[in-house]
Amino acid sequence: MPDMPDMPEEGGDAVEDIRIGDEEIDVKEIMSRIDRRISSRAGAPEYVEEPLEELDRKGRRVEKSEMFRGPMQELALSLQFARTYAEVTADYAIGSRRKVVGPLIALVKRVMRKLMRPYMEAVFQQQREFNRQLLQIVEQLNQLILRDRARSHPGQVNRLEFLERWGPDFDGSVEMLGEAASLFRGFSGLVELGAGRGEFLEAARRAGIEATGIEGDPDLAAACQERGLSVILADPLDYLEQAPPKSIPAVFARELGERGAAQDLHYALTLMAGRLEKGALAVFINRRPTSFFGAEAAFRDPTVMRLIHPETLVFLLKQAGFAGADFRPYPGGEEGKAQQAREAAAKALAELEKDAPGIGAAWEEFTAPALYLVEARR
Amino acid sequence: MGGVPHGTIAFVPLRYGDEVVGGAETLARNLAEELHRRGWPVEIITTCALDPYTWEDHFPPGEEYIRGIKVTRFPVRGRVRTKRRVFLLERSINEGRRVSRRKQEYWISNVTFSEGLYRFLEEHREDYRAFIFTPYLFGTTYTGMRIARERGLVIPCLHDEPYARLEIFREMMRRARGILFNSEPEMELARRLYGEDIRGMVVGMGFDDFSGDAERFRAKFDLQGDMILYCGRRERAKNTPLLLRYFCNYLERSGRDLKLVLTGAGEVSTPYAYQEHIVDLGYVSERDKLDAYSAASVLVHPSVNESFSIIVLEAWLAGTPCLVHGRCAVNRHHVERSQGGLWFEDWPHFYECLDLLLRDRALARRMGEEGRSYVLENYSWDRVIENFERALDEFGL
Repeated sequence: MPDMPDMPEEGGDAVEDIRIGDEEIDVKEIMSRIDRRISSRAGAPEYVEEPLEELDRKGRRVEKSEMFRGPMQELALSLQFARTYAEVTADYAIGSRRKVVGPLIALVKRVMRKLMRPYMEAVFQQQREFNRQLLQIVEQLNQLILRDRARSHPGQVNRLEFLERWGPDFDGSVEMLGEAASLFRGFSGLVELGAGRGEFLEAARRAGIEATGIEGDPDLAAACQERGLSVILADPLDYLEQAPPKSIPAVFARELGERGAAQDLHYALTLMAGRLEKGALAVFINRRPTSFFGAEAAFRDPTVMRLIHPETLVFLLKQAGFAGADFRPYPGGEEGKAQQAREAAAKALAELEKDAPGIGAAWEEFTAPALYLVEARR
Repeated sequence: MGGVPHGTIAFVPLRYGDEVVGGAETLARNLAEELHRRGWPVEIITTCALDPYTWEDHFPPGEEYIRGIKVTRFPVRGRVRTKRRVFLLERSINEGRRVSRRKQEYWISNVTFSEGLYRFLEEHREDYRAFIFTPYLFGTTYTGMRIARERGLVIPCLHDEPYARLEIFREMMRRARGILFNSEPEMELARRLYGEDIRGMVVGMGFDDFSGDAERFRAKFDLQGDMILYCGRRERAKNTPLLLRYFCNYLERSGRDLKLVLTGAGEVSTPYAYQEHIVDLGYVSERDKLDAYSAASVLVHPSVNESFSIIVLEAWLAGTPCLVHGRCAVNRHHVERSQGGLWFEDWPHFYECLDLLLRDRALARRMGEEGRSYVLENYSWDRVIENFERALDEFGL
């Protein structure tokens, strides 16, 4: 959420600034304090109310929000406009700015309108009907989109709360992500899609790399912003859609394609390919589906829909137009346990390998690091 | 028509159905459904109307069952405002001018009329334990109450408005076997208007607790950042133009980045320069409405004419503080009793109150919690049904 601007402090000591502590709420008392504050600040500029028409005429003087405006909000605004202007009519206000001959001009205009009305109305009627039909179609499409968005939302899972409880186990700590962040040395304008709690942004900051996170969850975005991290509250796909072609020099994402609809992954990769500069670096860290530790962590996360095999991700990246895509294991939060499991069984497996060739490789895969890292170039 | 089970209570709202939006109608529907759930024999006698502006027949006449409750509908003749005489009479009433009793009768007979419904009431008056009409301001209620006589109760949903001062309504209220009020201030208003000795009791409406999903709402409608909410009809009588004016002034004076989200029926005339900040969602589903309460920082209810304010009580259930108009006796009563919000009567108070609620998040949250406790304590269904039973006993029904 954006930072709220501080209230302007006016008036000096005589003005009571209303602060309510932990004491029991007494609304009558609060209202009395508000009354006193208003009386003591009589004539303050905030208390001057302007008519709506005047405000509208002047337009907003305060700086407009830099907040990202998503496509649904754009659609809602356009629909508001469309509804306002759909009803085409000849009954607009008639007048004239001329002082002396003004009334006469207005009279002529009124007479002209009266004479032309039957002809204009015939055309307007068709236009109104067309507008009505078109508006209805757009409204219906809007409803369909809203319905799908509501259905695809992951319900009431509070991601911030969830990640605070389980995150360090599998999501990667700031320390663990340091290695991934260091890959971006020399790149400016790094964007992280889906910043989560901001561990990667923190790691990048420690490595001296400037990065901006894109996060669709308001709580997570607010948590990042509170820590001074640069995060834009926006759905990553919406953000990519609105970014100009070849404008992003480097991108990082975790758990790419593991949430949302299956087709979102293909779409995101195609979008990324279009929005990344030539030679841009893309790094992704996902959960490894063949690793017990990777799968276990994924099953614990109620918002994860699927795991993406590293070879599949590399294949899709290449298909989307990325070059040199390759993957390697990357330690997850439970790497200590994974290491222990590998070492503990090493001796026994060496013995078993004689009778069951391949068992060592299978065990190694099973106890492999929970994550994998894919590095690709555009 | 089959036999009417012994002791059946008939609700007679002007409109009935899931698609119907309106305070009195929602109240009647919820109360009837709760009584039905608890095993009371309940029926609905209503008209075919849906649209409160045209009063055209929308639903087919006849019988249907909605969630197990029998609903009988009759064609309605709408408000004949197009008749010049009715229009002029209405204007005179609104301006508070003296209108003769005969003219009042003429006017009310043109404010919805259902011959079929009246005939049904005549024929089946003895079959029902009580008829509960709502709201007061319609021909079906006025004429229906006369037909139902000693079995007629009314949930008036009374506002302090010129109509309420008409002689015909004074007589209706005084003759009623009983009046079921939604709140104490509404009952006080009725006593002031119609006399201390009217037979009335506060019953209200119960609320089921719910859990709104703010994130779902934000994700669905792509809304980010702070938002204040208005739910309900958008019209002059509900003071929505005032809300728009104050809100735009607030944006200018405070410099805050804030949105006003509106849901409900009716046109919203959004100033061009503020399009980005005023989001009109129109009619939304019940689920979206409940989620919207949770997503809002503050619910603003600028109407001065309310008899109950379902919206305010629902917002409190979601833990959202409310900013209400101080001249609305009912809302102010709720806020003073609950400690769940603040009130304004002019622009400086609107500015200061809204600013305080947006600036002091801890206070806003605590007010929301106080409001929630108030609703759970005073408007549980157990309590409301208990009030209802006591009222019937009191009225000897």
